[in-house]
Amino acid sequence: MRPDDTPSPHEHEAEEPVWDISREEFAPGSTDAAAEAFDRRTFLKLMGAGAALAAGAETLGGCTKPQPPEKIVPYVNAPEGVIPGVPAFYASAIPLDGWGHGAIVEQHEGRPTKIEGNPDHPSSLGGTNIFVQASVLQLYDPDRSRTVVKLGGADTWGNLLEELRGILADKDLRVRILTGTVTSHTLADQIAALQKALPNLRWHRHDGIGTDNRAAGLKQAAGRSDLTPVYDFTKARRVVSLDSHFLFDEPGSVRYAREFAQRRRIPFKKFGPLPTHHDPAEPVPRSVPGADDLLRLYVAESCVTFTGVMADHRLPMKAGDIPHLAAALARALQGRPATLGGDADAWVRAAAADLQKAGSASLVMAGETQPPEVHALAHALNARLQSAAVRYVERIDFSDPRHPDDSLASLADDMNKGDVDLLLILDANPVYTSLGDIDFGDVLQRYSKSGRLAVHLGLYNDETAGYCKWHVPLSHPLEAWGDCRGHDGTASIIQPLIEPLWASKSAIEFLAGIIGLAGGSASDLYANGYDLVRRYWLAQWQAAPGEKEMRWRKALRDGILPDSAAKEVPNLQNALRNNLAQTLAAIDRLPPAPPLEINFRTDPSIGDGSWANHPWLQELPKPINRITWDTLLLISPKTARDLHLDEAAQHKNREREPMARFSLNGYAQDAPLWVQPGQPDGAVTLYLGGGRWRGGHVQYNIGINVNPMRTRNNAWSAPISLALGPNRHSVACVQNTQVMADRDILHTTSVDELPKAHGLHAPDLYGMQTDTSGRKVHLTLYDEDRYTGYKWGMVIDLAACIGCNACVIACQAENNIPTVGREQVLRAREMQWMRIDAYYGEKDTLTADDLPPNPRILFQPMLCQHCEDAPCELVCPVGATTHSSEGINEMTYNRCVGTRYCSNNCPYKVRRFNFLQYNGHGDATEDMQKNPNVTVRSRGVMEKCTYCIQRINMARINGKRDWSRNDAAGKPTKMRRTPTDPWAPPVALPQLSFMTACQQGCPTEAIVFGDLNDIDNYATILKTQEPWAAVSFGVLTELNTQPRTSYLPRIENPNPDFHGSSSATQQGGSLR
Amino acid sequence: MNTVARVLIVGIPLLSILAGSAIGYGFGYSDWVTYRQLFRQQTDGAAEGGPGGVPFSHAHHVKGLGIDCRYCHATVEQSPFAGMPSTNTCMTCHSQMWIHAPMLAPVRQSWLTNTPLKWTRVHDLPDYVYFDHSIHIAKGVGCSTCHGDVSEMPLMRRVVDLQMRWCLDCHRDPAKHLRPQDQIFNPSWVEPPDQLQRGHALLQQYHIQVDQLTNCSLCHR
Repeated sequence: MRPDDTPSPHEHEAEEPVWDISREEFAPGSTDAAAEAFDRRTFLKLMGAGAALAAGAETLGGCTKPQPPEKIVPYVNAPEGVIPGVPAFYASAIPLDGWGHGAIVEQHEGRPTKIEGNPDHPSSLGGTNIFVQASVLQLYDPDRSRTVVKLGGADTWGNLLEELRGILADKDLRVRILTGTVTSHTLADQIAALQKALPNLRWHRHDGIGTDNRAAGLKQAAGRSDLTPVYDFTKARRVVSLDSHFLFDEPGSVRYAREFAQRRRIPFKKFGPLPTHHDPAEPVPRSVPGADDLLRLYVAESCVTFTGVMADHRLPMKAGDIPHLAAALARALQGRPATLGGDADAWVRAAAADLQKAGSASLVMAGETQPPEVHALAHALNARLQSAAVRYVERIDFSDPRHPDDSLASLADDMNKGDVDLLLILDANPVYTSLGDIDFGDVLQRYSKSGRLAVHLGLYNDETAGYCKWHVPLSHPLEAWGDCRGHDGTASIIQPLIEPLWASKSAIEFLAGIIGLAGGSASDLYANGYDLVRRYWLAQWQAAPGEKEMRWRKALRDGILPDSAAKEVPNLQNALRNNLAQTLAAIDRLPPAPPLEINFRTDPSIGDGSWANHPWLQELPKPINRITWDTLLLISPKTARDLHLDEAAQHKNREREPMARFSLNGYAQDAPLWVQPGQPDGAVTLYLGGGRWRGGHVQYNIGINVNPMRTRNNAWSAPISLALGPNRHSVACVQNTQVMADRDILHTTSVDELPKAHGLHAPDLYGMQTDTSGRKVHLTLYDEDRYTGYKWGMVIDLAACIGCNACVIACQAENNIPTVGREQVLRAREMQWMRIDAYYGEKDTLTADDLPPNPRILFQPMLCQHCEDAPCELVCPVGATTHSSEGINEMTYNRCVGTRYCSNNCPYKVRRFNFLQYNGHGDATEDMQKNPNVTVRSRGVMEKCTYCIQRINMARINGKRDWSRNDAAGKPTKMRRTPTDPWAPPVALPQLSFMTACQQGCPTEAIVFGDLNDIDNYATILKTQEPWAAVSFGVLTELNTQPRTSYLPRIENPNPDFHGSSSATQQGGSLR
Repeated sequence: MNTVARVLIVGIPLLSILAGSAIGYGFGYSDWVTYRQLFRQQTDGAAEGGPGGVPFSHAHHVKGLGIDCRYCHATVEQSPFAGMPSTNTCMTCHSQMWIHAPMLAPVRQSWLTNTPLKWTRVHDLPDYVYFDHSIHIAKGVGCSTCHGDVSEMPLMRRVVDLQMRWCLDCHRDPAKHLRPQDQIFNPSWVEPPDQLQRGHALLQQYHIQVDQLTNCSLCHR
């Protein structure tokens, strides 16, 4: 497949009036042209007719007409343990690129609707990422493959077995299995069994992103390939990242984010899964970390990532230069000063000094996109520094023990040579993800045309399925049994929540069928995943049958198998450190970076493209540049100017962004340009995952397929030349301006300022004033003692927020938020209740024309602030948005008539309007994901964050119900401890323990929510107790909106000895 | 003359609009519109293949046999949804008695073919209202407060209009309708003469926060 065969997403666009964002408030098309053509006369006529109709409808009972008769359908035999109307929760695991992420899945009467992290799972600790959250909708994707396909026509599993039966009778058959990363014990055991039955079987592995460079680097460093590194950021105080996006693309990223955040903030609790309340028996940990304790992060990166955004010293650098930077760092640690020129020397000097000083509390990370030498160097440096933050365990993922070269390239070679008789592709899409010089699509096509057999097992009838004779639908992890291992090797049973929706097979059921044909028992042909997983694990345990059963049940209940983490491999330090000189020499032999390089990077929303058919993820604004539904060529402002692409640098017209033309590996391509401050000069970035051409209708016409342009030597970076192309492209970006224009929107503070920060900017959090009697009162006309019951509030810690978007998808899944599509996003009609605003620089007067080359980038999650004096409530003509006695800014959909006055009056712009019928047009399967406890909004209705009112109501109902029951039974109830306020004493109520969807989804505990009349709630502690209260702030509080959501400042820890322009704090003006 | 004419010209339309509005308003809350008191076929006969559905009699089962509400509506104390009996529940008795009764044919059919019965929902709230049975039960609102005395109903009917003002009437002043826990499932409970006094005592006992009961988000979310 050539990229020029793909439907081009970039069509010529008709001349349209230029939209100047500085003058017009609303994007073109956001108001209807028809409405503007209305004259007064027409208006009055229609008004009159409308009024008459409305009156008629009212008298005829039109507004009070009962619903059509509804049926209640009870069970014939009620299953045990199912209470209709009450959700059930099951522990399971979601494998992402093969690596397990512990999950607790919510199920309503048999439908999985929401995934949370499993607090007991070491890779999750209760947190999630966007993919874990999004996988629940993937289950219901109507584009998923539904039936076994033979040569394009529907067929059956039985017929496939019959066809294979004849072939597999030959025990010398040259079978190849191609998988992604496999961490499933059961699957690995099956492949081993197959290798016994079929001695010529070989197992190849290929991932879209993979860990090849990481593995090769570790092998270079340690001299062995049976290791997996596991990091622990709680033990690190100084971290250097060499193009490593460790908060996103490591198998343990969800956990690493939690560890990292714990070291970056003023901790309010011990490290671990989040309880919502502080134990009153223990003192609140109030220690403010000093500059030495707070983690200091140095990042050198070739593309702006949110890991880089979190850095104290971020160095934008071409990917090709980073190995030499790494070498300079290693030499600086040996006392030889760096001579790279520019800002890099100061960066290296500061980083080396810090690493040296921190000793075992230092850590060097290298990214997958860097060559193996850099990884080897990082391991050697960690060994020399005796870093306690990294440990090496026995290799976690499984591979072919007999054939070390298990790459896709070797498979392609063998297929070309005719050495393969049967190819089984399990859950991989190599035709799309293979590099250009392997061109697996071509190889597979020729292989299949020569009459040999290829069978594909996948979620979608995708590109690879198209070139295979047989395709078998793959069961989603939420509908099939399986097992997988987390980043530290901890094994989990994947527990399905629903019967397979379609005639699908899980990977282990599929292989069981093959085993059945190759000498196994006939019962294997239609084996059940449950039996396979259970049989494997029960056989591993040395115990009495009853004991085994108990262990099995406990593993299912807990979601992890106890003590299954991979064992640490001791005494590697010497082996690792001794390679340093050799590695340095190897790095010196690497060529310098080309004048202009292109970097291919994992898409922050859709990964390697395997998530491309997911509407939530496509519409998710990418971190930092906030672009949806697209792949853009990211370029630095200076490079854009140097290449005479100035027009692109101005972002004047997002409807008509210019496109660049380039050619690479024989492919000419146009790509829309996006000037991205923070991008290194001389390097442009293109994300993977675009240009999918088969398998689902959401993914078509989005982005560019870059895989054919990549080669084995230039898999992640390649030299390139760019020129302005003739075409233009509209860019669906959801944030119109990323400068704060001298407004006080968010605060940062340096760690040195923290002890002095008391009273710096906080106490006006709620517009507090002291009255004549010395009492603190609010500036409000409302009755002040109205919040005596539950009083909900939220704190968002910007020191911990890494901008990963997990909360946005969690909110979307929980609250039935529709996607609107690219065209509607272009009209500024996106519907997400939550957004992560990204600003360049802090409180400065930057203009869009003058973006700094390396700005400090700041994230701010923005959602309904639940103002106590809410501007939106005052302007609603029908009382659809009101204030509750618990302080919630309520939105009553059935009252809303859609005037949009509220949205107009909201200073935070967090209200979303259903301009069209966005919801309810989905496939019936997609509707199964909907949360039954949240109204599905229809056209013409305003909506916004409700603080997860359905969760509040459920917790309140359960708490109060149990209170009454306990009273009747004479049992005590756990009550909240209220503040002693003689003026407005809160009433006695049970303590409620629950989390909002964003809070629960957040990997870093950056969002804390709770009852502010409960002094043990962490939200109350963070709002009212020192040291947090001193630095707490609200957004736009000068408007006296008195938001219930407050923020804690981003804390930075720059090296005081650093002198260079790559310091985060030197770009953004003064520190607050 | 002019004055009279003017008054009439303005007054007649005004009066007729007012009268029309008043009638329309009243009509909007009347039984014609709310279908209060309407008897409905209990199960969907067509779905079971029979000529009619099961004419389930609460009068017979509750008053005649003394079966507790929770025998069939089993989840009413734990769940927002009161629960409807599975066919299995019906068959606990009807596999032993009335085993050939023609009117129970749909139940047996359901049991044999493993096809659920389909019951007509008599108390149907709009989909944007989130009602929770369990909390009402726990806080002293008895079944008959909303469902009427089902022990007198040979066929189920609705005795209240289920309009929002009816909900709010109680949510603004629950003391009028609260009863002690041992009377919750008594379908024939009548308010004692000193109900208001007892109700206020029960408000305290059940820890009911009246100010919170009229929050929009309590029912709409």
